[in-house]
Amino acid sequence: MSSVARALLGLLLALGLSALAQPPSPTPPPDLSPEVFRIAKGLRCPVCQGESASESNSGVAQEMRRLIAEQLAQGKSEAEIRQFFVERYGPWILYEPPKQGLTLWVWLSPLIGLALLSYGLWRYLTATRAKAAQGDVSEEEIARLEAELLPPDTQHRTP
Amino acid sequence: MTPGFLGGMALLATLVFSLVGLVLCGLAQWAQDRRYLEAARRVAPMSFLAALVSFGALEWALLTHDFSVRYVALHHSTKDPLWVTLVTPWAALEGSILLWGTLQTMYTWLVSRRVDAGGASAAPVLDPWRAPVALGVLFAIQVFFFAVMVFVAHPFDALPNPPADGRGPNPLLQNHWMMAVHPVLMYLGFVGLSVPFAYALSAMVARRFQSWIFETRWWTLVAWGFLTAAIFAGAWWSYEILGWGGYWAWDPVENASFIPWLLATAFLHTTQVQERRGMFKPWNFAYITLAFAATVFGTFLTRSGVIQSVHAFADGPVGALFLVFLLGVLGVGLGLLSRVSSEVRDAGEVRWKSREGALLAASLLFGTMAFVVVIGTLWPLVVEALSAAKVSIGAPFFNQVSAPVGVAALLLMGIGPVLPWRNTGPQIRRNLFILGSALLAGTVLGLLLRLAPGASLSLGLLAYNLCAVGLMVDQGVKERSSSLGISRWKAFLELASSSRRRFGSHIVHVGFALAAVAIAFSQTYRFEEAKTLRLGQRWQSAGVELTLRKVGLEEQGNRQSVYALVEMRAVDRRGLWADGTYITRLNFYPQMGNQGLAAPDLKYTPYNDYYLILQAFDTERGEWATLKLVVTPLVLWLWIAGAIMALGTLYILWPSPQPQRERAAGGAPA
Repeated sequence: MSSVARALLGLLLALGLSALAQPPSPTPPPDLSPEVFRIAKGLRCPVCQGESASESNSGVAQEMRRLIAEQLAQGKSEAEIRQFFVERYGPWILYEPPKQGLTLWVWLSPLIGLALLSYGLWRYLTATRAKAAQGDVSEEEIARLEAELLPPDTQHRTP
Repeated sequence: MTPGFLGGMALLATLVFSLVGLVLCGLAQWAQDRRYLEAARRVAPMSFLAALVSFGALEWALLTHDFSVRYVALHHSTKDPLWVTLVTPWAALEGSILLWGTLQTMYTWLVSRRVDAGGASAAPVLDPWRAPVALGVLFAIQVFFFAVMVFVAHPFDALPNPPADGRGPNPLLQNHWMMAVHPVLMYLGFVGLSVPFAYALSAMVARRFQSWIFETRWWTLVAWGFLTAAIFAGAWWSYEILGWGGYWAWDPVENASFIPWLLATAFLHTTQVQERRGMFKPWNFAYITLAFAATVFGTFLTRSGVIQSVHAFADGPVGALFLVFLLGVLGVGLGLLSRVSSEVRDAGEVRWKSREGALLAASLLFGTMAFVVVIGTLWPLVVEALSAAKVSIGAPFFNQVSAPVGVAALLLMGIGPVLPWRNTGPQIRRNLFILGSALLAGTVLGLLLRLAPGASLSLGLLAYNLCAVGLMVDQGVKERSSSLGISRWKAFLELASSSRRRFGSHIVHVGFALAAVAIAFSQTYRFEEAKTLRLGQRWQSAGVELTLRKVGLEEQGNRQSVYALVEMRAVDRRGLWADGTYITRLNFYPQMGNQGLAAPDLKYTPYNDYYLILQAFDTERGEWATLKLVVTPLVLWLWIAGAIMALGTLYILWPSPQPQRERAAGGAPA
């Protein structure tokens, strides 16, 4: 038994690692191709907080990556693999919301936002142009300007 | 005296000072009496001092391991290294509110020094009409934060039976020194936005709609600079530590920090229109209200637990209070705006093909992006409320929608500053031709190098923006050298030192275009693969060859660290500069049980970053390790771009050696 092994066993005992995040048996996890990570990136890690199955090191995410690798090896397409996870966990598992139903609105949000702001801007600019064309200044505005031009002390009582 | 007692008393004192300040400001406004204002002005440094004492007391409690304070018992342990202990005040909810509140008192104090106290201060820029409201708003924000601490989330809550040792802060937070930097920068930016917000409210109450824009220019830029630096720092932190080789995940809380930045950026651009043309006043009021509200919104998201996120602290009544505060900010800001909206109507004509047209279009883009991020972050809640279905909206969505917005922003960024104010002149055709050629040349060069369309376009946009800056500098230098009869070089130096805002904004824009290139390349060409290696086994991938040399264990203070020692060398051009020995770790903290925290090893190069993560290892004999290799191009340039943007902001803010000339030219009275 090498010293490394003894040290690692020591670690196991010290931390009480009876159920490591990594499998305790010496079976290493499967090798994962870039394709696996690409697909996993679009899937939510169900037990994590805002991490994808590609990033998380949790047991569930590792299992998901293993499943993806397995299914890729069976020759399944990306869409089929995604469907597999949707059937298991519901559409919530997909990080990219479907372009239908209620989540269609999210996809439209850039257009809606731009349209709303542009409409507001257009209305504003039409109003300012109309006002500029009018060209006159109301008495109220003159009064306010005069008030602003006076030094503060004449308006504020000073001690 | 114990630190808990001192801290509690100082908190209470800060709350009282804030209330007194608020009341005095109210009296000054209501009675129009300067004596009250003068008194309020003097309360501001006192509340700052009291808040500092309170913050210091928390540090004291942490440094002396006073576990009778609940916060210390929950988030500190005697084994923590000194630097971790010093940054623990913002490692959890109560302490981070204390940091926020303390920074708020600091900003209030700085603003109070600007109040015109009858000729006492050298450069008063807050006149007595608006000072009561501006200071009052800042005091009111302080009252909120310190009341939350005193009544709901008390950082100095006592524990009746103190433990012998605490649990220590969240291991994720002690894995990297960036913990000492990123949160403080973020809060400095968030809190900094409260100043232009307060000035805006005071302007609306006093019905003096123009000058607040000049007076808060410095504050807005300071807040924006801190926000920018904080976002890049946070991205770098997550790249270094979260162990997935990425820098931005569109996590709800990342979004929450991005929204104020987007709105502050929109605000920064529209203020230029108001400064120069006296237009767009109502939009500026709205933008700054929304930007400040967005900072509160972010805090609400993190503290309420309504949204799952890696940053979320806890749920509890604090979230609800922040929601009320958020609604208050929006209500007051937009309510006042609707009250004065008939008076702030501007007059004038804006042509789209002009500087102001481009600035308005830029603000539209940033506003739209903020809208998209808000909707994307909140929509899962809406869907769940309406249909009981659960959906996720994540990175794939945000990446797709932000790409076109980014391209549009980059296009505007080049052409906008080249356009003259009000109307286009005859030289615009020539400029457009030059810029268009640069854009085309860069893009075609990228395509010829067999790069992806997006990456090629980003190169074209960088060339286009560099060209635009070149055009503007060239034009300015020519004008100056011919009118003053000096050499080109001297004219350039004069221009650079006298028009700091222009030059600084050029620098920031170049940084932004460079960041876009880094993002486009790193998103397109990121490569990742995982493989289990036995000791001595070789693995060829992505142009490099890896050899696993050793798997070992180290005791490091409060943690155990399992490491894999890997040799890497380049085998072809793709693996340029990869050669080296890498030690990638999994750290085990007692609080986390057997869940290891990855501490990846990475090598930055000007071309690819090589990022190695230890994912699993042979726990029995240490004979194998599962390694994940991530190779991402040009990430280093993202950090350089962030630094350029921060330095550009600093360049604008740096005190000018020629204040007279600046002011005459319409420069910054900062």
